[in-house]
Amino acid sequence: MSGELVKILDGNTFVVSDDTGDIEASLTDPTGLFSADTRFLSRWLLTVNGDRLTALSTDDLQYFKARFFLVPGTGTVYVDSKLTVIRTRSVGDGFHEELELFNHDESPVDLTVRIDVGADFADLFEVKDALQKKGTYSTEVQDGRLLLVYERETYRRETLISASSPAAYDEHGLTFEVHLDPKERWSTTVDVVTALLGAGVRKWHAKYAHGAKRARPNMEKDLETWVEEAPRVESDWEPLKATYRRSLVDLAALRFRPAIAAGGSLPAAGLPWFMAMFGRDSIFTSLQSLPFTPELAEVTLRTLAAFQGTHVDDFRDEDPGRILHEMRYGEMAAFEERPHTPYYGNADATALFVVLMDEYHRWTGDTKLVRELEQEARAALRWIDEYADLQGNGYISYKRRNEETGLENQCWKDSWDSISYHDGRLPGFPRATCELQGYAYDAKMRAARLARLVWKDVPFAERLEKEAADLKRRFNRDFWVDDGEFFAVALDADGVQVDSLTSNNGHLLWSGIVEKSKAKRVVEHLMGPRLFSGWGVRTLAEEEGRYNPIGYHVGTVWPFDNSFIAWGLRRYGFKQEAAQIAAGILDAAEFFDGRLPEAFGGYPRSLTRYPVQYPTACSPQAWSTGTPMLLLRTMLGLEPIDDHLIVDPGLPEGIGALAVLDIPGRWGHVDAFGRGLIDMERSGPRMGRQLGQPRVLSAKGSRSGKGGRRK
Amino acid sequence: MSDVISSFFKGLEDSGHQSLLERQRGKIRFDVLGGRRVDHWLVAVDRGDIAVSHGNGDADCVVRTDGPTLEGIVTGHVNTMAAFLRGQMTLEGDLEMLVFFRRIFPGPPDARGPARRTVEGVMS
Repeated sequence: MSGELVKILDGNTFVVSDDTGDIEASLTDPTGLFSADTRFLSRWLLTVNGDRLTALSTDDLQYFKARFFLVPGTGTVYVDSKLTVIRTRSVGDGFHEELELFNHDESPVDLTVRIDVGADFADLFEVKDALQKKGTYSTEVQDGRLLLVYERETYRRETLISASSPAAYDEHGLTFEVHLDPKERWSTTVDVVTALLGAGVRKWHAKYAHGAKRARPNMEKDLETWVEEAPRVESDWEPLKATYRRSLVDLAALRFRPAIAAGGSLPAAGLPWFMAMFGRDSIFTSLQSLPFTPELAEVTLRTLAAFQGTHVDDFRDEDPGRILHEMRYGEMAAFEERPHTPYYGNADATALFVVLMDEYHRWTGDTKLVRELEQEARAALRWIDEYADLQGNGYISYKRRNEETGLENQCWKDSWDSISYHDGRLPGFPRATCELQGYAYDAKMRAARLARLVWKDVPFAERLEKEAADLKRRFNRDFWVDDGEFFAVALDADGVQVDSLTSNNGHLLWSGIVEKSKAKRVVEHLMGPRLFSGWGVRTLAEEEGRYNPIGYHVGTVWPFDNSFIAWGLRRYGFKQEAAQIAAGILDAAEFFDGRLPEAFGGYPRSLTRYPVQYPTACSPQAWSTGTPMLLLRTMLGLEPIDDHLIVDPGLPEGIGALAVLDIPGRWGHVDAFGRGLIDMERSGPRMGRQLGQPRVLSAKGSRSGKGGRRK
Repeated sequence: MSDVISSFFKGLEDSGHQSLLERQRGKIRFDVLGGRRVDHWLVAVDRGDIAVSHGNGDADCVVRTDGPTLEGIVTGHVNTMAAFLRGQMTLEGDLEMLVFFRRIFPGPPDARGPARRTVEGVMS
């Protein structure tokens, strides 16, 4: 066994095994069959005549299907086997596994094929935190199937195992006696079905029939359609096409179908541990992917609206109007040992919900949805004014009310040391981080547009614009660090500036809250050597007290962060700088075979020459997956204005020609073209594997592209 | 039959309209098991307009639970989603109805809410 884990998934059901397909989990070991945030199988071991198997090769056929080529025996230098075992696994409501045995010998063989089975029904949180179970286990051997049960009061979860061929079932597994003549093949299928009982989701029938090769009859077709229906990307720069393709397929894998969305899906946060609804992650990813897969934004808006807070609930950090942070279905959420039913502890998703609603409307023209969600949009805006202003100073700030299991940091930089003063001290709570004010400003401005166009409430629009203008004026006064000429990352509980230089300045550009006169200085900081690594903008600038190039939010480069910074740069007309960030991040993507990690090291590009990945359990991560899509948008300068899509390219030179074909929207479908003319000198794409010291740009200008109307 | 539950549904009926349910159209029925009898509460929602009856009529969403659980829910002591995941309620039909309906159940009665500082001092 190489130690490489094989992961397949469908929505929030996923299987993590070793490279032979076996699962042998301990409480802390993250392998198993998981569904609804619960581990339904922690043991799944295949043996032939008592021997474990060795993998010759493993194919991840699709994100929902894997195939393992195996031979009996382990640990020898080479194998000389007369027997081949092929194990093909597809995930569905549980999983479906086909076992095939081939006898290559010239004489017949009798084999005992056994699968050892066990389930610890651990909650995902227990796997992460190594906690002990409080309920009881039981096992039932029934006619032709094995039932594993976990119960705690009225809570009941079951795993049902059955095979298509005759087998002997016992409490610890199932055994097949197989006779194979020379050159003969034997096969069986085994279904593992999960059930949440009492919760009314009892289903004994997997979505697939015995003998069917697919977990869900149309899953392969569904993926094909997904890719076919998305816009096509053409470029002289081959790696960009591969990166886009990777993003599209990963985004398909990250789709999560909420039970209330009538089959529609929204982007979950990350694979596999964050295959759940997260307000912030779902919104950011929907924003990134809007030009390509706008249906994700629609389901995100609908679902987050349905679960919008309506109560004051301290345990869940819920207030009326607040958009959820995270929803979980496991035992700990059920027994309120964790607050995720759902948990509302974030300070950004509520404003971002309104931002997404407007951006979605600009692209799709879906006035109907915006009209339907008027009440929720108004409630979100009320939350900003009535519940989020903890300090009474007109700014959003956060301080958790659930001090035991709630989140301390309720902004995207959610680690304990992410928000610090220049000298490295940490501020107390409440904290008013700067980007929250930007989102609030943008939410008000965008809601004003919707109020005029859709809700037909001009006085409301005027009030919002007045509040936004006032917020902008105050913000530019209160957050501006005079001697450094950038925006402080936060105001502390006393209203004092938390004066470190951070990437948050880029989000401020994106939201539009930065006064024009200050934008140039902000951009110089973002693109200067303290923040810009050559690959992208660091979360925290060099020379800050807590700067650490491999610190989670204190020096690493986050692709998602950079995609929004690039959008912000475009918003303020800094085309070349936006192109430089796109070039750096897309260059980095090539090193990761098109799959951008959550974060990579903040080391200067000239030092490491390749991006150093930050170790993280989740890959792909949704907003990293969405990053290349948003960068395509910023490079082409795509902007929906009324019923037109404006194209205003600003491409790095090394990229050559770039076309995105069939961009869906209120205009039908249009194509966008651009040609890379902004000279990145040596830091541009195609130079990716060479030394790329960031340099001062010398712009040669950029030929404007065209938007051709089609269909 | 629990007075608490009765008065919740009576209050709902008397309200006639719930603005938080203005996007909803359909019927939700609560079957409350108590010993050998089952009480039925059928709530028809029509764009926020509410009609409550005590019958066993057809519904888009049927919630089965016991008296103490529903009492807890209508007084804000029990969280609907958590009770659902714990198996204290089962559901048949349209889950979305219940997701929206939970909006009009009260929140925890002892909640303090955010401590907000005003120019005069701290209010809660």
